[in-house]
Amino acid sequence: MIAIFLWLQAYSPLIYKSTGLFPDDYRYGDLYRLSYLPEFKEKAPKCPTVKSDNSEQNTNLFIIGDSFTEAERVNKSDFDATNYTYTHWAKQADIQLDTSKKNILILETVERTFKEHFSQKADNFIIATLHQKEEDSAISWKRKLKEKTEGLITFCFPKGTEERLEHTLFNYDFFLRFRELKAKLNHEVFGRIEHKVVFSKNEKSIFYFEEADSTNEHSAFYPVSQQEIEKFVLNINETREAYLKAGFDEVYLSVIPNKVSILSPNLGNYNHLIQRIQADNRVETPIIDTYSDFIKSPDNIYLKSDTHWSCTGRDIWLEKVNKILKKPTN
Amino acid sequence: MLFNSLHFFIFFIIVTLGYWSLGWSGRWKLLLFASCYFYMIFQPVYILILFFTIIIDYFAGIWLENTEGKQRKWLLIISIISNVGILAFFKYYHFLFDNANHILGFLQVKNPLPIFDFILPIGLSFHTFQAMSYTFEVYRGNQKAERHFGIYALYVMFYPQLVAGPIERPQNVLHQFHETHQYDWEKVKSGLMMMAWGLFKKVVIADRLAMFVDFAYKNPSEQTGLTLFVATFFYTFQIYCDFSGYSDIALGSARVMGFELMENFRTPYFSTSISEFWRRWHISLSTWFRDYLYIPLGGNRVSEWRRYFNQFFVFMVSGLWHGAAWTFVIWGSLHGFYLILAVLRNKYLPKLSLPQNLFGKSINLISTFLLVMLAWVFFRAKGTHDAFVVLKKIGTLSISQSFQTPLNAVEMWFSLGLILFLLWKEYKFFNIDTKNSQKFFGLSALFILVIYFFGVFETNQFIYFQF
Repeated sequence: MIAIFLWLQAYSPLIYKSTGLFPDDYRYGDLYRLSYLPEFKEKAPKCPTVKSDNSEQNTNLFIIGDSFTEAERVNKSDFDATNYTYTHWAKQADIQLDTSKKNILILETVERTFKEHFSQKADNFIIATLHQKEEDSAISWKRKLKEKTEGLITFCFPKGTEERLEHTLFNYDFFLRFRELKAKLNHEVFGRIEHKVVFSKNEKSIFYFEEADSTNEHSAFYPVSQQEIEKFVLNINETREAYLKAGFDEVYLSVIPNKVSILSPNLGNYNHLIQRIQADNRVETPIIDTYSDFIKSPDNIYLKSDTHWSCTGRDIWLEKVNKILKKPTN
Repeated sequence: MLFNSLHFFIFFIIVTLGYWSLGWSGRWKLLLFASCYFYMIFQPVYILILFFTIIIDYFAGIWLENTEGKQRKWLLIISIISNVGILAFFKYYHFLFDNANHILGFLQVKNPLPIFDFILPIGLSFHTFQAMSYTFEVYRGNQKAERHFGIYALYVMFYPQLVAGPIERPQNVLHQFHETHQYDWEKVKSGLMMMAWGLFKKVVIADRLAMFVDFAYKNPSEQTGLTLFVATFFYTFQIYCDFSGYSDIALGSARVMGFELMENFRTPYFSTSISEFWRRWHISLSTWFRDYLYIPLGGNRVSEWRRYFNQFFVFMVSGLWHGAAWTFVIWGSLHGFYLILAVLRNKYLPKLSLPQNLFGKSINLISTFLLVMLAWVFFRAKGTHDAFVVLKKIGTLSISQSFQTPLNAVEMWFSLGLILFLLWKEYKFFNIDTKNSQKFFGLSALFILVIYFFGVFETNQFIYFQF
């Protein structure tokens, strides 16, 4: 019975989430969750709300973002906005624009996924009034059948079962000790750490391999050609234009620096992606620049055991966003 | 589903407990359902291909038994064509397409073959061969056609050997599915210990060696001959531990439920000749080729040179069975070539054969090992170019060359220690005793600790899954 229960809850993401029996596997940070190095075990603090109390709130805020702006890090109460709508880069959302208010869109991406997001035009928000009907009729029955079949297969054979099972069984503090022991053994005896994390030169910080491993194309140390920069600039501008046409009043770009780009840019040959995009005068989209602020005081911007920002880093970004939201309409 | 996953661990517990709590009719249904689930975890849609071949071979078996004369041959041919056709399409279409592209491109002609985008169904070569062995045996009259569709489907799909063998014969397993096995604690313990040993070989030895091998073979032109020699030496044991580890888990998990599957490996690296190596390595495949290809081609009852050709051809096909790439063809052909050379040496230059004393046997053992090891270069390399780069660099290696490794000295020595431990166990034919329950539980606890703390859980896939 225990085995069946374990299998069921790991098999179905719905049951896994709804039982609430298992501790959050990200509670000590995503990098700890990958490495289990005890020196990088730190409970993520709950950041206080930063919204000003006496704001006018005549603005709707929309964000196409990644994990930096997910609900557990940033939510409506942090913004000086009447309404707040978030969608992840991996998803699409149908929205309607209230034209009696100012509609602002922020395209937020962490540096390591920037290339992926701007290798084409972003179209995550679908403005209902304009596209809905056309879209519906355009979808052929073949496509619908394909989508339904794929949906059924995904439901019957969901991805991530192994990971859920692992966290169900071995995510309690008791088992974490064994995991830490193994990580320590590997580090101190065999001189290696889990392949998805990378140490800084002084071993005082750890980074996610995708941003720090120079052989990874998403890494901050993987060369980016001028040709690629031009393609990104074109896609950023086209995205902005499309959303302005669709009814948004303002569109902003915000590239959050990788942890490694701020704390250990000398770990490899840094490609300076953010600076090159931000300095390119062909970019028509206004930029919410956090790189210059983060680099000035790098120490407390990121969490020790996580790829994401600390409350300090988050507050710097929120302050800039709220400034835009409070800006009077031209 | 991977044998070295938690998913399998939970699956195995549920299926085994369910199996022992049911009667015969519940057992085969449970095993069939579980096997479908096991397969569908990899690629759900491809179960349809499996069912297609099952239906064809099921009816082909019955018709073969009820038919006489020329028609039988035709039925066999139709069954073989449909099985080989599916295998050929999914496994070799891209290979054919690429080669046609090369040749036609050279002739400046447009490739007329259409482009299909699909991935190879996991374990296709294994279950196709197992299904074919059934029709061959029914045709030869060695096996009665199976009337129970569920049992026949289970014969092809039995989850322990579904994706990477052993490639069973119907005479060995079909009757076992009809029997109601009695619970036997001794068999359960022996099966569990076999699984633990298999898992140890996979995650502690094979996946550890893989870290070095992958590093060296990623870009061989950047490595020295010494690094590549050590990597090839490590790969020789990586592939053995990976594949024989899988077989041990398969045999063990079947044994826990009372089934006995055929042995697949018998200390192959202690062979003193290539022909002996093939009697000890992947036994279920080499005997398959012997029974269903080499013997129908005439076996040993043909002229001398025809026999050499047959041997060479069988090994070449065996190479192609492993993978749709020239590297595998060369690997198989190389083994065929070794075999023929040995026969020719024994016949025409008997003085070159070593005496059967300790010295002679040792030299034969080492030279056989080195020949097998060098052939593995083609099996592991990304392409023929890389394989020749590796061989060239190994051919010109010197001890003074620099040695690059992603593992530190402790782990390199530890890896070597593990290889020596494995060889010692195999040399002594040391079987882990499970009769004493106290010893069994103690050893199980030790295995759990060692596998957890020294296991490498980063490279999950079994090498032979790709075939």
